Amino acid sequence: MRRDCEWFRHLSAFDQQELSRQELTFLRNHAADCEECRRYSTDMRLLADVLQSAVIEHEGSQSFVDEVEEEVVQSRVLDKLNVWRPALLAALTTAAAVLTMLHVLTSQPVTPTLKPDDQPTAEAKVRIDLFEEAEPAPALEESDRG
Amino acid sequence: MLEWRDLQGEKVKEFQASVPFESVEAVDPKAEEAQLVLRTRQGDQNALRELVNRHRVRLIRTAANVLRDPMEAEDVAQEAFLKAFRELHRLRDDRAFASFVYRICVRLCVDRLRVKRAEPAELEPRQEAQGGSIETRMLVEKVLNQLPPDLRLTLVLREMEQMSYEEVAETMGVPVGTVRSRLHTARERFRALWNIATREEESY
Ligand SMILES: [Zn+2]
Repeated sequence: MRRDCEWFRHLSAFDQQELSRQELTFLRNHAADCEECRRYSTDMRLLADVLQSAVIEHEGSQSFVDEVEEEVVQSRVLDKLNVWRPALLAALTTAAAVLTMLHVLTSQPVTPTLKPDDQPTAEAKVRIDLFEEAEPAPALEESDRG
Repeated sequence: MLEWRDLQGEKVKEFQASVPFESVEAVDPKAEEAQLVLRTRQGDQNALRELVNRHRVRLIRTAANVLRDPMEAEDVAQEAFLKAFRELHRLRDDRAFASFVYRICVRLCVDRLRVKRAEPAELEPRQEAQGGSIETRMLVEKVLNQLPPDLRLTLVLREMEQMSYEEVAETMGVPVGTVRSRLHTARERFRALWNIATREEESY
């Protein structure tokens, strides 16, 4: 096959909009000169038409969606996709609990401080009273009289 | 038909109220697609049905043209959807579900063609009578059956499905240059085989 014919067939594999003006001119001029390549071009157009005429326009049966859904349910595909959900829920619950605890701990001091003018609470007062009612410690007597 | 210029005052309110909320919201089909994929991941069967319904026609049609058998095409498309949902974790961009499931379907078709090539060819045409004469369709099927699966698929995607070189390349997972050279080879072989087949037909 001549080099020009090879080049013609190579360029024929491109879409027209992909080719430069020079390449398109070459295709036109070569087809005018070469009968074999002209036949090749006609065959290629015929091939495209033949394949187009044999297209099967089949959209599938009405029940197609139901059938796919049934298969998905039976093979438990969605359950497997869904495994992360309970795990995420558990993680979120734990995180929320930890955050709540942190909040409680930081907003209430662990050891309460007493200011000088603080009055004792009722509970503390009872404790003081109890302490005061307790028997006083025996004082040292001067019993040794001799 | 209601014209926009007819919509004034109360009519505008009535019209807006009659438009479903989803159709106002759905401005980006890819974002909508991503939403459906997300809902499917969360176990929403309605979202799954919507995804199947959106893509089934394209998958079945392509599979029917590659395999030349509408019933087998439905089987393959069903298998493709199942595989896509099962392997949804592999989908990095939820907006790309369409090409994800389409690629799976095309690969399954090629697998079936490879198996078929190892088996003796059936002589009866299996497709329903559609456009083109039945003789032409039988000849096309006969010639396609003689092409290797990759060449056959390239030819069908380009000539029957009218895809661009880039789309064929993306679907088959090969560079555009490879598509062009495969297409060139496929056309040459188809042409040669077609000439032989038509001569045989004439001699009967
Ligand atoms: Zn030539």
